[in-house]
Amino acid sequence: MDAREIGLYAFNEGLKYADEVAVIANEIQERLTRFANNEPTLSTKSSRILLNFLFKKNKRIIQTYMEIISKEQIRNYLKTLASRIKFLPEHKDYAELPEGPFKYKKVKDIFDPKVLDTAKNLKSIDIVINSALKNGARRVCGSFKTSLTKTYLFTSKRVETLSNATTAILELRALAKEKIGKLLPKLKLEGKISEASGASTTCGTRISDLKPKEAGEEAGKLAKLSENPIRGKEGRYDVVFGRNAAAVVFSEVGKYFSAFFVDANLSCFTNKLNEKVASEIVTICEDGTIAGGIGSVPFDEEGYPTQKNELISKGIAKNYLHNSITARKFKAKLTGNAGWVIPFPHNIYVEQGNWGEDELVKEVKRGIYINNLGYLRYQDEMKGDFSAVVRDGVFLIENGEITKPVWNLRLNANLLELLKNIEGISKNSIQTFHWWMEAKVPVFTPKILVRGIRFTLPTK
Amino acid sequence: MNIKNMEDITELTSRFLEKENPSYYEVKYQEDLETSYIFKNSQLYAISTRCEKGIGIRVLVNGSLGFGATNVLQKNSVENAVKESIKSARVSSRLRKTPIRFSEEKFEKKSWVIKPKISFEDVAEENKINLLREIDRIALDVAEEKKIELPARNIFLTEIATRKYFLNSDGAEISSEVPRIEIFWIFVGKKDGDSEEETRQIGGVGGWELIKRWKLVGEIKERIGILGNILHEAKLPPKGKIDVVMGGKLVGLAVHESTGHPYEADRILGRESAQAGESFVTPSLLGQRIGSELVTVVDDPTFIFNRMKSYGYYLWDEEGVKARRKILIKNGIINEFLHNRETAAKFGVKSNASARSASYSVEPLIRMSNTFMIPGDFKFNELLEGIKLGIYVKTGEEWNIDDRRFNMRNVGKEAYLIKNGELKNLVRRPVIEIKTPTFYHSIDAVDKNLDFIAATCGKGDPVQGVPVWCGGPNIRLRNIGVLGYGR
Repeated sequence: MDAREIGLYAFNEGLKYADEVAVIANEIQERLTRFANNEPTLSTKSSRILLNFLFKKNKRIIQTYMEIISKEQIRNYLKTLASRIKFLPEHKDYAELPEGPFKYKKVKDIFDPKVLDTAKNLKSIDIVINSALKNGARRVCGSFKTSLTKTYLFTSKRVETLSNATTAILELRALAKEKIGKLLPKLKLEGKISEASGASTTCGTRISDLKPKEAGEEAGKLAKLSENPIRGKEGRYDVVFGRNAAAVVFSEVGKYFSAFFVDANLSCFTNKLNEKVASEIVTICEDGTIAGGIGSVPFDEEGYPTQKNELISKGIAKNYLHNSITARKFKAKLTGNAGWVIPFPHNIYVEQGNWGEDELVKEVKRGIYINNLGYLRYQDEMKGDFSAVVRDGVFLIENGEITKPVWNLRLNANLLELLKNIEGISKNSIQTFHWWMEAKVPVFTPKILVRGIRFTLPTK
Repeated sequence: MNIKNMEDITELTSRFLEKENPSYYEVKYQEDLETSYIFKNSQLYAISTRCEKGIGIRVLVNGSLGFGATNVLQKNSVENAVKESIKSARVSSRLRKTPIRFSEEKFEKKSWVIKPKISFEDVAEENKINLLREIDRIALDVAEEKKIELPARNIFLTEIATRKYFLNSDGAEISSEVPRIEIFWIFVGKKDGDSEEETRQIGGVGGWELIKRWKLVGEIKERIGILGNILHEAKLPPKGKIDVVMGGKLVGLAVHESTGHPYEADRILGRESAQAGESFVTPSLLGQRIGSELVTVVDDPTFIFNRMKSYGYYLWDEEGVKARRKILIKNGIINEFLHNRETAAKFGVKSNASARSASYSVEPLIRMSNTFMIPGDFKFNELLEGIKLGIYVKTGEEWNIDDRRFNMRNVGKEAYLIKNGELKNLVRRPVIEIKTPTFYHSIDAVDKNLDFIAATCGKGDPVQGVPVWCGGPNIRLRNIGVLGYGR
């Protein structure tokens, strides 16, 4: 049985018990090669059929994720769910699935079956490692992930559709000379005091989108430049965010525009529509139809066509992201972002500005350049207060020039204040997706200049 | 699928593997049945179930590791998964310069089963939903009493039953059945435009009987009450070098992040560098002093606390090695790292059974289980004695740490001023940023208590979340830097 046959079988079985049914059947092939210390550490291939099933009866809802492919097991599992649903309370914000059929826009450049070629992928890893080594790295590590997914969607509102998509994500971290020495001045204890690292990512939906040589070069150079860092000083700085760091921030923006988090009062954008939430040079869109977007797909999980949605236009919050339930509650139009429970962004696109990348740095008298961010953790999601660790290329900017690598600093910010203090946006928005983006939304991002961000450092 | 079928599919896979003749192979069947209840602002927002079954295959060919997985449990798909795992290893061995080896271990044929006293199926759906409704209602009642709003009330209840069957070419054959249950909540309290968040994760191995043991009604009453007190009464914390008493939950998080992670041998060797990160620890630090004599930190997969099986409980790891307690720091001295068979071979030691994987479809990695600091002799009040000016940070909200695990940050949630040996008013969001060795060297008193939080620890690529407990006693840190109010 293939995914379509299984999906259709589950769909028809579900209809026996439910008022409304939606089924997503995915056939996924994934390859992954991880590498560290300049050599592969693991190479994997998996082939799976996944079933997501939405079941609605008398305004009661259950969703399920199944990795079973036997008809008998599916039948029994659905029967059990049908017997459980009657015990649930009615959903207060219940809404029916959108009525199809719909016309879908063809999303360009999202399929390339060559992404699964093991030997070619290995060659890209060889290129990326050697390029980083040539540019100053001593050790290179990372991963190369590729996938081919067939997605079938059936809903009881006359939707039956298919999407084929592939992804290729090559990310790496390069390490140059690290400092081994006394961990504390008063102790004998010697360990790794600081590391000199750089990181880069190159990603897309086709093998031809990737630039392994350039990615290796960027990470290698950043690592080399990060050697012999000085201890940072606490205070407020103007900050230039490289793309890896900017992508982390903007993927958070995408997440918190989901009406689920807004409704749960867990978003700093709650009750902020039509209010200023960012500097007027900032326009951020969500778009499931971008050519070559890692998250691009013609339809959402309810079968509604994806589209371009303005989240922030010239600094003003414009639209939350909806499924049918949140759209009804917010009295808003569907946006093509259903998750059955949590609406989510497909791709985030940050409109490019008119600054050259070097101009962003030249504009800064006393500041910090950050290539990457990690461990972004909130004190208060409703307010947007957070801190994060800066890494993989962190440099002091003095009088418009990058001067020295710095270490030990930690960024303290508020998401709304950060957006409001964006003063410069570079010219090119490039697709970025990497491990440290915990919101896991692909972001087309430029580099940005943000004024007055606070940094702290640990006590001795 | 019953146990017999599990064995059938695993044995069929091993027959295909024998034909390919890799230098090592392992096969794992895993089945997870999960139900999650999402309760949001007084309503059951969604029920989500998961039924995941499949096999994962790991092979060693030409000194290279290959991995394959499928949930299509039919002969041709299994054979194909075997071939793909062999091919993956063979192709990547072209770039492999140093062959991977595994440590020699003693293997057994064992089965271990945790039987719930009250199974999930025996509890009516209404009772589960009523529990969530009650937590929500009590939270609202306390909020009203405390004159605060609670605009965000999100409660997640998750129950998971996992069955596994593992065998490898070295003779291990381990099967297991483990039920787990977890409650996670996020509440936001608000007063006059000011807000504070309360999050909590509570989890353990067992069935519905754990819900009664956790006394959730009392817990939520206390937590929302404290949230109200913070919003009404908490003052700015002192700033500068002062004494700090840290609560067991926060100590647990600190030892998980700054002992557990940096002592993972794969991080020390740089294997996880691009993702979870590396470690300030080098192999030569074994046997060196990292903290005061009062500091002993262990990671123990077999841990049972107050007759409750821990959230990270297991008896054999996912390479078939028998689990045991690992003493990571012994009286202030770095004593042992966390190993799987690959790193054990590199270090010339035996594996200490730290390999875990989150599902059938991902590789086993070195992971923690239940990491905690061993309690001492002090009574809690004795920790406060002699502190002229300090703070007691009982719980925290925001934390992070750099990738070497050297520079950690904890922001207090429930925290009090200590003046002349006595607890005084609540203080708001005290920020502690401290270097790992400073943290462990500053500890001069450890009390008799032991407290835990449950957590889902993330590592690997793709990210794997595994259940863990993090715990410790209340401890006193002398003369450490507090950065003041965290926004």
